[in-house]
Amino acid sequence: MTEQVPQTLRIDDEASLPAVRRAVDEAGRSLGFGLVDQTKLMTAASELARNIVLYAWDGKVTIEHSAGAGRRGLRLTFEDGGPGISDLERAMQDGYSTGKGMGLGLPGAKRLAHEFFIDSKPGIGTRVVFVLWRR
Amino acid sequence: MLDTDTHTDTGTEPAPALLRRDRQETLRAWNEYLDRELRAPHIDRRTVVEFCSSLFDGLVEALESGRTTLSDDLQSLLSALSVEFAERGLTPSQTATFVFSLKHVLNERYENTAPTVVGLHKLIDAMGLHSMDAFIGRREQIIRRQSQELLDLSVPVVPLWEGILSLPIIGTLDSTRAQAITEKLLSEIARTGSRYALLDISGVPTVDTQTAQHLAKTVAAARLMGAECVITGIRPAIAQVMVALGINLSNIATRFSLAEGLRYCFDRLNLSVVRGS
Amino acid sequence: MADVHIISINGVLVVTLPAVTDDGTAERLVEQVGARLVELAARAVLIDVSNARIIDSFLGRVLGSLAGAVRLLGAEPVVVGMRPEVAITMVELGMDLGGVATALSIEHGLAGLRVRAGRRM
Repeated sequence: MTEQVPQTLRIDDEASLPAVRRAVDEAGRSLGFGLVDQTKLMTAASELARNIVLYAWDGKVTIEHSAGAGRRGLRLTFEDGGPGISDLERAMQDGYSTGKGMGLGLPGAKRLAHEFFIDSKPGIGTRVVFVLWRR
Repeated sequence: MLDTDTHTDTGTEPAPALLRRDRQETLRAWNEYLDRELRAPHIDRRTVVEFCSSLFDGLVEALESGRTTLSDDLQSLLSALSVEFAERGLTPSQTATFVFSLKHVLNERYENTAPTVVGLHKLIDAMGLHSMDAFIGRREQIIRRQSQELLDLSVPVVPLWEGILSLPIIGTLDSTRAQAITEKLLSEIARTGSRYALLDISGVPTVDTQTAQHLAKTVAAARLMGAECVITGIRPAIAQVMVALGINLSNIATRFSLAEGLRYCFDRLNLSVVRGS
Repeated sequence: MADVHIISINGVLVVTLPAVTDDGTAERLVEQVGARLVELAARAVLIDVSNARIIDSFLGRVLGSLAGAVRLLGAEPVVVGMRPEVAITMVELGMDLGGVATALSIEHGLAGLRVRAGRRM
């Protein structure tokens, strides 16, 4: 297996998105994800990376394998030092957006995940963990 | 279970050298012990003998290098052993017995004295635990694969007419099944270029809000691709429950029976059925 | 970088998206298609997404505005050839195309346009 993980990529403008999608694509392939899950993975990565570009301007994603209870999966951790989210509960609702998105980024990515954690402190930053297990 | 080993190295005789010297006899004793205790007719003796000597050598090497954790080689050897055992239907306790019995054999041979070097017991414990993890991991993989195969079997997408597929859904529609059904149906729609799909739910015992949501998602995904789904086989009792639950499938075509659903598709395709004279 | 292809077949524009559409390309899409539409006086636009491996909410929104612009210019938009895995992901994400017509392939799309044109006559 070609292990290019763990890998950390910087996300600072829209031009960073293709590299993130490509890296997630490769990492997912090497784990043997099926077509549907591979698509969900890349779409979620695109949503979450774009969130950083739109709202935090500078951040990073760490792509790594995740193992547990006989399962293997991919864990994507998005971290930024942006303004943070003051009302997490509202941010996780569909249609809530403060920027030019559709407001689907966070709740949408959560629906694509098997495990999803978000932690945000206003003025300090946001950390989102997205895990998809191989079926 | 973990033996917190408080013995210390005597310093006079390096335990690894002693173990190496007695290698043949220890291995023979171990094999004999396993012959008596393992009771695993599905594993042939040669495999057992090979695993024993590789594990023994791996253990001695680890002791020599003073390592307290398992090397990658030793880990993959243990994984291979556990996978083999799991695939051949051995139990977890048989797998544990295999590894832990080395302790027993060594204790018998040296009467709890000689190779009580710090780390020997810890290493064997670590080996046992690693093989358990690998065993359980493999079992779970097998179970998941089998349930996936069952899922695939339970999604019979049948072409009814050129451009019309049907999918009878039988049993409860949980999210795992809903996912399998959606994937199969959509890939068949793409493969056959079918514009219509009849989802027959007469075999579904009850339709709750979650089931309805799964159906609505399947229909929405098919629609994005350019195919229309018709839900058929909604029994009056189920229709009543759906109304009571406030489930609204109003933007989805629904028909009472499969035949009515087929008629709907014929109409849309501008086809008509004519009785021969 | 893969780009958008626009061809015209009998008064119908066929816009083909690449495997992955980058943001810049997406943003120019509406303008580009609008210009060709007016130039050729096309009556319909087939937006072929059969090569698209992912459609995230950004691209989904662009497709929605493209369809809206096509309608405003008096033509009919049809999204064609969406892959099953992309459709499933869009639905899970909570996106739809706001009632834009869809078709399984370019052929199905063209056939559908002919049927609808026939009904109007």
